[in-house]
Order: sequence, then structure tokens, then C-alpha cells
Amino acid sequence: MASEARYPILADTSSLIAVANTTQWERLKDAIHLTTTNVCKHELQNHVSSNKYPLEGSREHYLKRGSQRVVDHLDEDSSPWSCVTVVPRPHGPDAGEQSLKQELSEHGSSYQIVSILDSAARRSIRRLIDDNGYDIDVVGPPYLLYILLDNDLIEKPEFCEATVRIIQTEGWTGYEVVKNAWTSIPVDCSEILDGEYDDTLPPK
Amino acid sequence: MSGSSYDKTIQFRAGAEKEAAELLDEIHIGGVNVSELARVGLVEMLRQSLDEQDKIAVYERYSRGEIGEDVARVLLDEKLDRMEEEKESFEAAMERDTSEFLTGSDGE
Repeated sequence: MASEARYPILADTSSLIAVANTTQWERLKDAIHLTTTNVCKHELQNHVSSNKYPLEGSREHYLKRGSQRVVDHLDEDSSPWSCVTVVPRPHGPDAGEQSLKQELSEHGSSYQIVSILDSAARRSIRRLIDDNGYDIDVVGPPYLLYILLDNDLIEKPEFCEATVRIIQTEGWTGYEVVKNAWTSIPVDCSEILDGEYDDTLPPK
Repeated sequence: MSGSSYDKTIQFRAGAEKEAAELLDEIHIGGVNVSELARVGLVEMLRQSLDEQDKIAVYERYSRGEIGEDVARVLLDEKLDRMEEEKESFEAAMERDTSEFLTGSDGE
């Protein structure tokens, strides 16, 4: 069972599902410390149990598979990931996001990075951080892969393949976070990925 | 192609639509600016017509300089500002010492 320690990275449900579905999941899960909330874990468990036999390739299948991987990892005895309990527990469709806000309001100084997939939620959390004067960057899930790249734990081709997977699954939302990862680094993925990714590659 | 065609008029056959606009202009107190209505309506419809792949394609053309910011803004609106905001945020996060986030960094 994951501890209640607070590590510098706080991640939400959808961000964790996104990286859990990439080819670098196995490497990522043991290489970095990360914290999520009990509410996000509950959302992950709901994805696992809500649809028993989702069709291969469907959105439900993607959510279930990614969530299962994350939950299994959180349940490991020696997990490098932690799960903090948020009280009072928020409910509703954006409970995960709300739980991150609650956690940041009370323990903001423990964190350096918040990883969240939804762009509207990122903006909302940035406002909270600005209001509280915390030194925290709010980024999409490709940043978690970037940590591996920055520490030579993966090579460029692996980074490119894993990030392009996020765009393919998340459409514009994924594009928005991945494009910025590519533009910022910059990593020339055009040599690595073939023509079918033309629309998602950084400009030449 | 490059956003220099504002002088071109978009024309379409307006039957009942035109009549409806004229009727509204007649009955609405102070009238309505039909041209403004059409322009705003067109922008709204253009944005609504964009699917995820279209948005990606528009942004790609914009980043390659093939279309101007004014045209990209009609289609993507505040998304352009958000992309810039996201880029700045990612760059700021890259400035951090990422080795601190690794499990190996604290002797485990």
C-alpha cells in the first residue's frame, strides 16, 4: 500500500492514465516519486470496475487498462508513489480536480510540479497557485516522460513514441500538452516518427 | 490563403434566412445590424465546425507561418493564448532539477 508521504509531484487521475498507457509506463512507475489523492485513486478504481469487458481499442478499454496499472502500482507494498487523504472528500464529476485543489491549499509548499491532463483544470489550478504565492509549475503528463529523458533514463525515440501516443488518444487536449513539450525541449521527433504523425509533429 | 482577403464578400443564396433577418430588423426596437449578425454567426459556425483534427491542422499551419494569426484566431480563438501559456509553463518546469524527482535520488 502506498504511503501518505508527500513527494514534489502531484498528479491527477487522467494524467496518470495517460502515462500508464504509454510504452514507457514500466520504466516510469519505478523511476520517479509521485503523489496522488485518495479521490483520484477512487476515480481510477471506478474506471476499473465500471466496465467489465470493454471493447479492445475503445475509450473505456483505455481508461480501464490505464487505471488498473496505476491502482496496482499504488497498491504495491514498496510503491514509490504515495496517496494522500483529502478531507472533506469532494464528490461529483470533477472531484479529482477538486481534491488536488484542496491538497494544494493545505500543503502547497510540499509540491513543485502538478501534472494534470485537462487544460481548463490546469488554468484553474494555476490561479490557485498564483493566489497563494506557491512556486509550483502546472504541466501536462508529457513532463513525467521528460523527467526520464532529462535524466538519460530513456532516449529521444522512446520519448517521442510515448508522447505521440498521448496525442493520438486525447485529440486536441493531448496535442495541446504534447505540442508544448516538443516545442519547448525541443526534441526533433520528425526523424524518429514516420509520416503518419505529420499533423502532430513539431514544425520543421 | 494568407488572410489578406477581407475585402472579399462572402456570398450565399439567402432566401428565408434573409427574410427572417429583415423581419427581425423591422420588429426589433432599434433594429439589428444584419451584417454584424452574419459576421458573428459565421465565426461561431466556423468554430463549431472544427473537429479535433481540424484544430490540430489549423495550429500546425499557423506555426509554420502558412496562415496569419488573425485567421488562426478566428478558428482557434483564445486557444492560441493558452498554447503560449502552456509553453511557458512547461519551460519553467524544465528549469527545475528533475533528478530530485527520481526514486534513486534519496538513497532508496
